[in-house]
Amino acid sequence: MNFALQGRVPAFGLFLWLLSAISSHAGESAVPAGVSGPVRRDHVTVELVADSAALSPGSQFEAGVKFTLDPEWHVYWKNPGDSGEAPRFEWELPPEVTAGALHWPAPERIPVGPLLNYGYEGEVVFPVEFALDSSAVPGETVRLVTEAKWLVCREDCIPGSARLELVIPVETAPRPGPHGPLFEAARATRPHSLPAGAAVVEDRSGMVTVVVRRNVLGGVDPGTLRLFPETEGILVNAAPQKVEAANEVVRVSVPKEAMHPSPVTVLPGLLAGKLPDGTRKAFSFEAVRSGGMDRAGPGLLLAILFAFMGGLLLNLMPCVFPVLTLKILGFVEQADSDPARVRRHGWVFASGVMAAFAVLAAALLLLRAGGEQLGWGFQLQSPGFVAALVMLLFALALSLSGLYEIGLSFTRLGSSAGGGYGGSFLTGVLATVVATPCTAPFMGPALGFALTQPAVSAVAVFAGLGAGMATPYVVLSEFPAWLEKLPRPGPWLDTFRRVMAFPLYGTGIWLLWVYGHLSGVDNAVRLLWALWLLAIAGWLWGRTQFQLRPLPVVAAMAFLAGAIGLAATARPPAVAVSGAPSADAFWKPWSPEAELAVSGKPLFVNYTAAWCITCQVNERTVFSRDDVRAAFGVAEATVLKADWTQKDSVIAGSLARLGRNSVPTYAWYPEGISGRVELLPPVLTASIVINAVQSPR
Amino acid sequence: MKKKTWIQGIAAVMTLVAMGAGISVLMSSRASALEIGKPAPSFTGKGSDGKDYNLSDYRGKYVVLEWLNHGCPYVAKHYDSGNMQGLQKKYTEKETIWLSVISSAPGKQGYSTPEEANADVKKHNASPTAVILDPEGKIGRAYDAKTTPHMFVIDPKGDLIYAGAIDSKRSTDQKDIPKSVNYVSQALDEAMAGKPVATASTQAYGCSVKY
Repeated sequence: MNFALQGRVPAFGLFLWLLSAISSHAGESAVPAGVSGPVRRDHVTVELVADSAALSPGSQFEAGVKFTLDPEWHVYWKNPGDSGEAPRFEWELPPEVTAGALHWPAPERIPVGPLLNYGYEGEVVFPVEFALDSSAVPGETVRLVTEAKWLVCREDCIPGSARLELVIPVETAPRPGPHGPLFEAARATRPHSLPAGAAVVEDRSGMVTVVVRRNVLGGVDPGTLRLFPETEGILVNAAPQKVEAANEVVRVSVPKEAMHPSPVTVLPGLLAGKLPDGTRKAFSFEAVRSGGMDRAGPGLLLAILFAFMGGLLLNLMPCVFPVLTLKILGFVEQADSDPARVRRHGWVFASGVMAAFAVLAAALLLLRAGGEQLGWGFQLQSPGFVAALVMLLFALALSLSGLYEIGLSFTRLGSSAGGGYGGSFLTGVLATVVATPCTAPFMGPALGFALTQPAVSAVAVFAGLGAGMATPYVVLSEFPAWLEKLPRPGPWLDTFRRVMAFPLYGTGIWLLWVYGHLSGVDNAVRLLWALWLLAIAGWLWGRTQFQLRPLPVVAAMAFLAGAIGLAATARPPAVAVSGAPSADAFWKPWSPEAELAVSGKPLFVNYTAAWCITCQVNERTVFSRDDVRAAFGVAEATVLKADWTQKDSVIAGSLARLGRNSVPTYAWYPEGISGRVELLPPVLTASIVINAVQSPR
Repeated sequence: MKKKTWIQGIAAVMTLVAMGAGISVLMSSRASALEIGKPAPSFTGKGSDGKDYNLSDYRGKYVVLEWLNHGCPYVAKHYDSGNMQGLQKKYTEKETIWLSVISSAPGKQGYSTPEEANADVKKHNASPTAVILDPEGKIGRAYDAKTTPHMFVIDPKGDLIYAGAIDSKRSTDQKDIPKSVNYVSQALDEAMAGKPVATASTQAYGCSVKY
């Protein structure tokens, strides 16, 4: 406690202060005292204990209420099961102490006749993490007070409560206390958090199944695993659980409550089992349903179907448009050649798209295996990738502008003779790479599915996406009659080609803006210099293409190497760059705490990123409108923006809880964070938002 | 003809996808004994007054089922405050049938002989239509009653329109009652006004039913 007496204290005040200091160790605190040491209540002894006998300024420690229960009596887990109530602790802390998380120990299954509870028997402590501010002064004391309320039951139940306190001295170095081992043991058996995507929930024909990857269970005998749902009212708690262990995954199935008709999309909970030596081990997870839109738990086929439709729609998303022009160009030329070759080109283009999706899938799986938290568009969260993409687009645009010809005739211009399949293939690859930052409707669930499934399913879903994206072009090449409606090649084609360079430049500028957000203005300018070198290299290269001279070739290579080197040596900025595309006071920054702070009141969360052009379009055309903002005002809604421009596992986890892994995601909670949630479509109009926000609650 | 086979192949794949989707949708739907909007399980129970009470006799009226155990602090919360008695009085005056069901097994807490159950009604000044004694737990299991209190509302057609907690605040503290939404009266008022029941099922809270 802070005993600094400010100014002159009247004698009477000093007397009172001495009295209070003597009686309850309290300084200026107005917190009424609680009871130190063990307290006996009905069928239970409770005591506020800590892992340390002394604290040092700036240190962290754990403290919590220890329950010593009479035989056969129990208290409850946060989900008490079929009946009962979890204990509650209201902490009253001095200003220099901040509280962190309460770590619920892994509970036991406690059968009560045909019903079942989740709780604790014997001795249990509920540890809370605390931090002592570095401003605390050795020689003082810290007084923790908690108002504990609980329900203790055998068959019959008795509510209990106690006001408990603990006074810990502040010293220069922390000292472990007699309860240290109790907290050590609690830490050792504390549920271990599984990585996002390690567990999936399925909901089929009256059974809810949690599927978990076997390699995250650290040697626990699968047969001993039991599922503890954190959400109440979904599972039949007392039902026997069925465990099936396969090579890659373990499936734990529990019958679903008949009264819970809606499909289970998210299931947080614990899996607890035993190691071969009998030690108990628990894992906490947040299982997201594979998929998240259809009413039935989607099978693989359904996910592929969604992926296919999503792929089709990808062609219509704003960020694919520049690439679309590239493809149109290809078709314009092909219109001149014989149908068989056009058809082959269509297929080669399609295989280019498929190959790119296959590489993406492989990369995704590799990174997933590394435990990375990923989302669609993740490759655009890596600055190096964005820089490379900017350079590639710029190089292509330079070629379209006529500075030089790409050897393989990338866009197949100027190569009237056969071949050029490499060009079609690469166009397919490029189209895919540039399209990825956009999430089309339907695609989120399919990807959510892919991210959490065994490798084969994931690849199949990606193949569905690729097939959807490539289909229109294959169809076009299969029916060249459609192509013949396009004009014949001629001098106009050269003009057309020069014009087509500009959308590519534009795409490059947009990506440069993304890059600037990712790694700062210095690096962005560095990249511009790299483009400048690239332009010189391109010009030199173009000169060599007409009459081959060794010097310019070498010079071109040197400039190219310089450009790549310059871009590659960009250093990450010293200060984390804000990815906020615009410092807009309308939005408050998102955090889990910010969500909870407005519980019970309408809440809108905008998951966005600078590299997501669909998000940017929505920002500019919908969220900036006065009528939309007014609607939020009328609904008295809190509006939070979760900016995913840079990797952020907290945001990724929050998206996962919504069954999504990509932006844009727009979540509307009419009754606050603990109520129902409505996900808005990724492509918004003002009326969609206004109607959602105004709908009667 | 190459083109033909290709189109046939695509058609076949699409058909398979559609069939798969159809099958998975069908498999996920299932019938269950207890469902909102479906007929409530029928029962005949012995009242503490010695009469038989048959649910089917009350077609045309609203019926409330209340799982009861006076030894449970959650039940005490709603009886010591007068909350439960107030609901019983208000809705039985509106022609609603209110049946308090005791499913405690013999030897378990809350088990009541007819005399004890009648004495409890008097003692708490309660006014249910009847107290049903269900020591074998037959009615309790038919309704999957888990807690005391656990509340069910059945409409005049005999369909279940509400199942779950009595109100929105899980606690044994009477002070929480004014701060909570009473789901039972909300469901009854909405249904009686011809409106759909907004909150038709909730997680019940209380002590375990002592089967």
